[in-house]
Amino acid sequence: MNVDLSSNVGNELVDQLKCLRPILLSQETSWTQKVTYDLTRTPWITPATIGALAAIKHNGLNVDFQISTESVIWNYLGTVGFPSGLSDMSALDAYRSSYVPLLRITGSLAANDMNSMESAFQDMLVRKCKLHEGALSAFYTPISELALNCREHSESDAYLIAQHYPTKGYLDIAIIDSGIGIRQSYERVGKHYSDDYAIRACMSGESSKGFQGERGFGIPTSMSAVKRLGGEIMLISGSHAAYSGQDNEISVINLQNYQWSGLIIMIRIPDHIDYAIDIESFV
Amino acid sequence: MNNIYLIPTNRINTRELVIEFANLSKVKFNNETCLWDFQNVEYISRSAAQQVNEILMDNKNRIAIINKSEEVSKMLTLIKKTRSDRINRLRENIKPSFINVTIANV
Repeated sequence: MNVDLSSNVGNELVDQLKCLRPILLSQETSWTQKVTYDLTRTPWITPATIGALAAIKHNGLNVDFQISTESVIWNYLGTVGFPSGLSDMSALDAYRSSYVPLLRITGSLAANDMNSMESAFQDMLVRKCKLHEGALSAFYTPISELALNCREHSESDAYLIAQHYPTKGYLDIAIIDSGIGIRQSYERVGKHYSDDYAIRACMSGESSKGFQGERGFGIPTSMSAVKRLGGEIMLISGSHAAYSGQDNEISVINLQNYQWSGLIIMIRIPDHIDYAIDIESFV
Repeated sequence: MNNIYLIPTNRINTRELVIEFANLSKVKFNNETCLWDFQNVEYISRSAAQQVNEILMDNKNRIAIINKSEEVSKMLTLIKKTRSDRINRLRENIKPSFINVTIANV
């Protein structure tokens, strides 16, 4: 199977769904047969696309990438460590740039790993993005919460990657796994939901660990943090996606004939935040 | 039969706790309770206490702490109270409203 990834992406976060569509359509096929992703005419590649392709490569049977050394994204993919990703977080100390390379989160993260990850972000956020230091905790809250959630719930490795776009004035972060997804996380504790219901349940604070009323606040509080930062967040799991921006409503999108086994989280944060954010009120 | 796991350090901060928990997770539970022996622990930081609380929540009936000092007890109680306040507040705050969107509109 050949998958053409030449389609261009619009600037909005929701536009990235269009770019991800061929990847989502091919995920299941990649478990049983050879799939080649054609990146030769890809003009621009987002963190979410990189993370999703890395996850497919990791779990797929025979996944290949076609890319020309003259392609504009060739150097970039090599620089961010695609497709295997960086699993030794201490190596992150060497990165002081406008991106956080592709990280493969395997097993539980030790405190040192979390520190390295936060340092890599901090350098980018404070030096390049001019984020108020008083807003850093609000930024780390969703990143660490969602990265750990992916790892704990998915029964699979998770990938994290971030890129700052100075001319566009924002920072994109993607956290991705190709594990069991939200619906099946609920299945494990005996809750038989549809993808649609499951994504609404997780955004409403319903625990998939079986401790209803006491756990399950990770995703809602992460969404609150992103909102206070003036950002947007999108989750894709199974046949549904959910998008939360600055409006009060969360859009639930039925992807109809394509789906993702696992969880894709895309976060966009503006790169100029000149105010402190008190996280105590919402975490 | 219970497994007893003696915490060797006298001060627990978050970093040490992660190491301890990594050790603890190697213990085979086999439906037995694991007793976390705090006899050497004189101090526990607020964030470490928060994590201990989370671990206890996630492993109900499988992990229990024994031989807590008064100071450690106080901190764990304080965190428990803060936690229940937090949960009540979160329950109040999290009431999302949803709108349905079809892929054609995206």
